Amino acid sequence: MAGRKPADAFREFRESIQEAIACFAHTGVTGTSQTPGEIGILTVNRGNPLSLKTTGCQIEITCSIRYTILQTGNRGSDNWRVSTVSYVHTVALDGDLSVAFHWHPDDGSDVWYPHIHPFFLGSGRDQGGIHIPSGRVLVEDVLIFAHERGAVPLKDDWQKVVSRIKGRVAQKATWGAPTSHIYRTQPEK
Amino acid sequence: MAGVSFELISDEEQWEIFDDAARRLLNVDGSEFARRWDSGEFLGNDEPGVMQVAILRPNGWPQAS
Repeated sequence: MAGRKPADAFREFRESIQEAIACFAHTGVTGTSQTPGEIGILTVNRGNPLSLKTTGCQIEITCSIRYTILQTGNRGSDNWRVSTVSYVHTVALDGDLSVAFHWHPDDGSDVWYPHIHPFFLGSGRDQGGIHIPSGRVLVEDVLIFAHERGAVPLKDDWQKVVSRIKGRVAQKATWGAPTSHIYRTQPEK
Repeated sequence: MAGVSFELISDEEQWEIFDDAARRLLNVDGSEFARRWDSGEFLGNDEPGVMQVAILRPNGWPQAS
């Protein structure tokens, strides 16, 4: 996500996440910095599990991102951009299965690439040590997965919104942002 | 943004978020998690609970609370 000034880049970054989350829930997003070069932390629902309205099973998500604001060297509207440093997102289903989407290359783990943890809760089958390699997982992808498991959107056009945001991220990301849309027709620009 | 607010918070407020997560997920307070992280106790341990707390650590941590 980019902008003419650091604050512009950060606003675009956090507003995209707010817009995506708003398709499924009413809550708050926090961020700690819009100063270039600092590590900032963005949380949804202050890091607490966010319950989504569902058709059946209970679904809770968490989304947390560490980010920094960098100068691109480009002039104009993309002079500054927000770069993701690491992310940890989770989707918990009925208290039985938690799926964790991780990318934390600088946190001392041997698993530096994006990966997925399937985590069976309360069953005695602790599979947290499994790392399934993945592509980059965005907050929007978390919402798509939650919807597939029964989360009910608050907005009828949620697929259009999420696809538009994913497309915008893919245009500006420097690594691994998925370009696939989930909306069957191209979203409006 | 309708339905989802935004708040720019301080590192102290982020510490509270981090401390809450440490207590909820690992049954330790933030200072204890920070001490154990700095001692290398969690090196190579990226269990979901540990990383869910670690990603929330504020700048300038650890800080005694």
